[in-house]
Amino acid sequence: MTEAPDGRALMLAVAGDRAGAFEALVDSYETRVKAAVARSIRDPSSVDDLAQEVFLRLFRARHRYQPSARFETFLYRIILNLCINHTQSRQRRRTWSLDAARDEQGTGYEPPDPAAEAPLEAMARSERALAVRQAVEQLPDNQRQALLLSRFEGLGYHEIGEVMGLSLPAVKSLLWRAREALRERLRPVLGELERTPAEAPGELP
Amino acid sequence: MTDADRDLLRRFLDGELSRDERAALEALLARDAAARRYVDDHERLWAALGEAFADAPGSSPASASWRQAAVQSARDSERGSRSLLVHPRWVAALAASLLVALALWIGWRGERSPLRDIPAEDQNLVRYLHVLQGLDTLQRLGDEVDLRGEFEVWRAFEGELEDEG
Repeated sequence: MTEAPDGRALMLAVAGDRAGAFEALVDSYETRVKAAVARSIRDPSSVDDLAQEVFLRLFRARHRYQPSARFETFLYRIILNLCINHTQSRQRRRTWSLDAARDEQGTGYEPPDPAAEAPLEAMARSERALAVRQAVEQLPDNQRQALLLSRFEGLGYHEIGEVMGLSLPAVKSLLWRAREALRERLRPVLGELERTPAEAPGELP
Repeated sequence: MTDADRDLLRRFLDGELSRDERAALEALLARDAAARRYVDDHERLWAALGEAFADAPGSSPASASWRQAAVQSARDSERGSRSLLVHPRWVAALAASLLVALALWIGWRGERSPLRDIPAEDQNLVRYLHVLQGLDTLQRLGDEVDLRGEFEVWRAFEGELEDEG
């Protein structure tokens, strides 16, 4: 997906039961939905199923869609609810198993293919990635969700508040606490990044 | 850094800064080393997050078969719920037919009733005869209880009456 699709127009077409509209919506948002689900849950094997469930719920809710709301807000609310339900039911079912042991150790994350990099650089990169993922997973659920919505979905305070059902000050506070907690936990990792030649902060984005 | 400066930085980091506030932020960064460090830290954190989640774990690459399955399951679910919707209609129609049949049967039974030859004012009396009979039974039982009570009182005072006699 290279350019942002017009989610609202697509969803309105789906709501109007226009032929091929739902297929186009799935086509446009598949990658984004799967990525959002994958970041939100701790169970990589369920990503595809949950992403499918997201589209199923979108389809069922198509006649309730209000075009006044940004489509992404509507979409992320569905994703968030599903992921929370999934995590809670998984916690309830959780029994001691090889899967649980593996999850606690490595979160099922597979680092980027190191073949293309120098071995030391690749190792450092994968260790850093693992440390960051673990730090994010240790955040309380609401902080983690707010952070992920801000960092990866590009949602602002208002939209995060709508998705999570929170007030503006609550969202600001969550983001602030999440960022501070990560800064604290990842101090060594961030220090390492400072030493590696990276793009200079320079101009404000 | 003042609280206002911190708030400005936070809103910048959260992407909430307005165009007008941008100049204020640039001035703050130019004069305050701590603010610059803060922004640098944040940018490193944001970069580290991007790197860590670059390849979302567990997410399969976009595929035509997955998309087809997602579309199909959504359509199937609706077909399923539509076919479920047919059943309540049938049930409602069946219930309505039963009600009509019941009403007709009651009417027919009423016409065949032995009460039909009795004057209207007496029909209720006959219809509720069993209630009246029940009340009679209760009355009789009550009378028996009263009689037994009186009898026990009489026996309690029996000796005194004999003494007097």
